[in-house]
Amino acid sequence: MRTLLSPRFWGVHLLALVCVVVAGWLGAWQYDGWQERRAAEAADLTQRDPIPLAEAMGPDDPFPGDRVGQPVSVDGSWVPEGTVFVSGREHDGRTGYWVVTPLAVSAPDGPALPVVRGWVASPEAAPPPPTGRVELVGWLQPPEGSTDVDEDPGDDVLPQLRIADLVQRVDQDLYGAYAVLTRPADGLERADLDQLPQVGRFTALRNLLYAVEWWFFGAFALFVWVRWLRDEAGTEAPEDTAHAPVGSGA
Amino acid sequence: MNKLFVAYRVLALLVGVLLAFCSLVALPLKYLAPDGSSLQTFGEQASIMWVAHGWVFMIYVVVAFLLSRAAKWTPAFTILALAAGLIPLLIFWVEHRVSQRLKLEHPELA
Repeated sequence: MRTLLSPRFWGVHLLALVCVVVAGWLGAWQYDGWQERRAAEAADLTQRDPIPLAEAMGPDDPFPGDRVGQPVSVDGSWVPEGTVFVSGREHDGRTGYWVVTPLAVSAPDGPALPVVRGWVASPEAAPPPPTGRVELVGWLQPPEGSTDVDEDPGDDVLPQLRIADLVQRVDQDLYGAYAVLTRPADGLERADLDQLPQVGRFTALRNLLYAVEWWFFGAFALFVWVRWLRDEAGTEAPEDTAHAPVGSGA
Repeated sequence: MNKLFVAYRVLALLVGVLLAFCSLVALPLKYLAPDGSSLQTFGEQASIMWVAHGWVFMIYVVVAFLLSRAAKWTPAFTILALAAGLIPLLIFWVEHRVSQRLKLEHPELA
């Protein structure tokens, strides 16, 4: 045992210790990352108290990524002529339409926020769009955007709730977001939020897998070290006993 | 010994292919292909293979270590063989060297 502690082996011990500590630390770091990302994604904002829209974002701001699903209170005037229907929306297993009417925030010619008022099975069944001033609460959602092409630009049906499509239909500027009414308008059914932060089973799973890997390598380094110590102790042992009388007392 | 040798060769090949794919295909596509292009997206999605490489490499490390004891490799060659799983393409050469030497010393392994 004494020979294993002799200075010529210090380098080996140091290397082994560094390997074990570094691997353990990197594993802990990945593990923390895994937990943090899960916690961040799980943050469900939809049950929080509404905040004024201006606190969440301004009319020219990009969508604030940490505000998906945040209830916002908005006060403004409906822009009924901007009403559109967004196709391909599911509700209770049926495919129908979202009814979207922009709401000019503050002034009637101020920047407008598209508001999903509810769901209908067909555009014909929708009640006439509202007019006048209103104060409402809705869940803030990032605008949709994909390559779906509006096959018939002449009608009021859109395949996606895309700001670029809506902005051509109203005089007002539009926010880079939309809101879904927390309580659907009269005559409409509830529109289901389709963009909510969810903790998927695979969220940040990669971090967890890396953490396990690092700990495994730390354990492996430990294993090699211990094995080496045993081997060294085994080969040194006879020598030790042979020299024991000479070296005794040292 | 024979089983260990076969396991080593299979794992070395797997680690080598995964590492070459990740570092020579997925990585350059992810960072060098134009943003938003399908190649770039592919590179980003294929990066999940790094995890596969990591896990296969874990098994490789254990098997290579056991083989190093059985075949009495020098510490330097053992370290090289273990590290080869992290340096693209090196493992193919190491595997070739290992096979050649083992077959020379143990003709029954051929």
